[in-house]
Amino acid sequence: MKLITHNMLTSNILKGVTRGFPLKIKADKMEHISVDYNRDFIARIIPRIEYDALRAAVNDLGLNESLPEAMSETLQQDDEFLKTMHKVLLEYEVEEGELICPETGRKFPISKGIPNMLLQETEVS
Amino acid sequence: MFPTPDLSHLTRNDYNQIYEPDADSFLLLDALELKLNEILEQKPFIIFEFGSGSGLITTFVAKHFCLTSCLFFAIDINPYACYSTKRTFQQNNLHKKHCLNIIQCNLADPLIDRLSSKVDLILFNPPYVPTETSDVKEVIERTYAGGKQGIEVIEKAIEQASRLLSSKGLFYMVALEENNFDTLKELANQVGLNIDIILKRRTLIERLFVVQFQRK
Ligand SMILES: C[S@@+](CC[C@H](N)C(=O)[O-])C[C@H]1O[C@@H](n2cnc3c(N)ncnc32)[C@H](O)[C@@H]1O
Repeated sequence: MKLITHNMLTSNILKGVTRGFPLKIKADKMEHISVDYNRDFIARIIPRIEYDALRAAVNDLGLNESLPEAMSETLQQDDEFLKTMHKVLLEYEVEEGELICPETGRKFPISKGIPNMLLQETEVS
Repeated sequence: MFPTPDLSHLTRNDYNQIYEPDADSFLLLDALELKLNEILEQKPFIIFEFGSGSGLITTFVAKHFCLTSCLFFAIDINPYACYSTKRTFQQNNLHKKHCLNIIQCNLADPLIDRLSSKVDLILFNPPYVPTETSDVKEVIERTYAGGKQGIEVIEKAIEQASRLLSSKGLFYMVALEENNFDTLKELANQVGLNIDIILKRRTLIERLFVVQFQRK
């Protein structure tokens, strides 16, 4: 699971959960897979990213990547920043671990790189 | 005719656990090809497949409908289907150009919020066979069991698609005659979508058709 995937997931279908975002991440096994840099692609993705959630994920995983505290229009044109975003969003892969609902602590396993967000019927609101 | 994606990495063993592409899968590919120009004109960027199974359809679209890099979402309740989708995408060398997000989940449940009104193209070859219930245990049964009139899963997918679609977004879905076009039309109407039949085909055992949905 890449961090871009994490950035799109919420747990608010759980009973009693209002936002369910961002999910916390715990990684037992991580990989770094290099992906060809495509400036246009990453620039197109960035406006769709919840930046604070991405920073929280980087922090949860203890990645040694410096993301500025806030995103701005100028940053979105900055090559250094785009390259860091490319690496953070597309190159790190959580192979084994879990996502955790921020409101209930419900755990969602990540296995072979794929998060399992399925719920029991009794858990759904 | 576009060539079918390479599925040579999938064996009988895989098909014991996931849906083996069949007439319905290929009908959807043919329908997409019919609509090639319309889809290309939209320049889809975010593409979503419900129930991706082997990954055939997502891979086909990535190969032939995306001139530039796109963001794909493929979901399935079946974990083997999720792995297979990942493998098929890689086997066809598309993971270098595009970004594929794969999630094991029920329809778009955990993605609805973040992808609301953002999806340009949605694809679904659903479980459409009328059965007593769609709430079955075996993953292989869930490939086809559509519940009452075959539309239990379809109904939820239409409702979710109405929230996911971007203003000009397109949603293509396979259906069975027994699902009843008028019923589908009513479901679409209720959530503000237009629906049209774009291709029909009779196989030895089923009468299938493909519909296109778009916001009114
Ligand atoms: C008819 S198969 C189609 C597989 C593949 N897309 C194809 O066309 O060959 C339907 C797929 O939907 C999945 N599925 C059924 N119900 C689902 C649900 N509620 N949420 C997500 N996936 C579901 C099944 O596991 C299966 O892979």
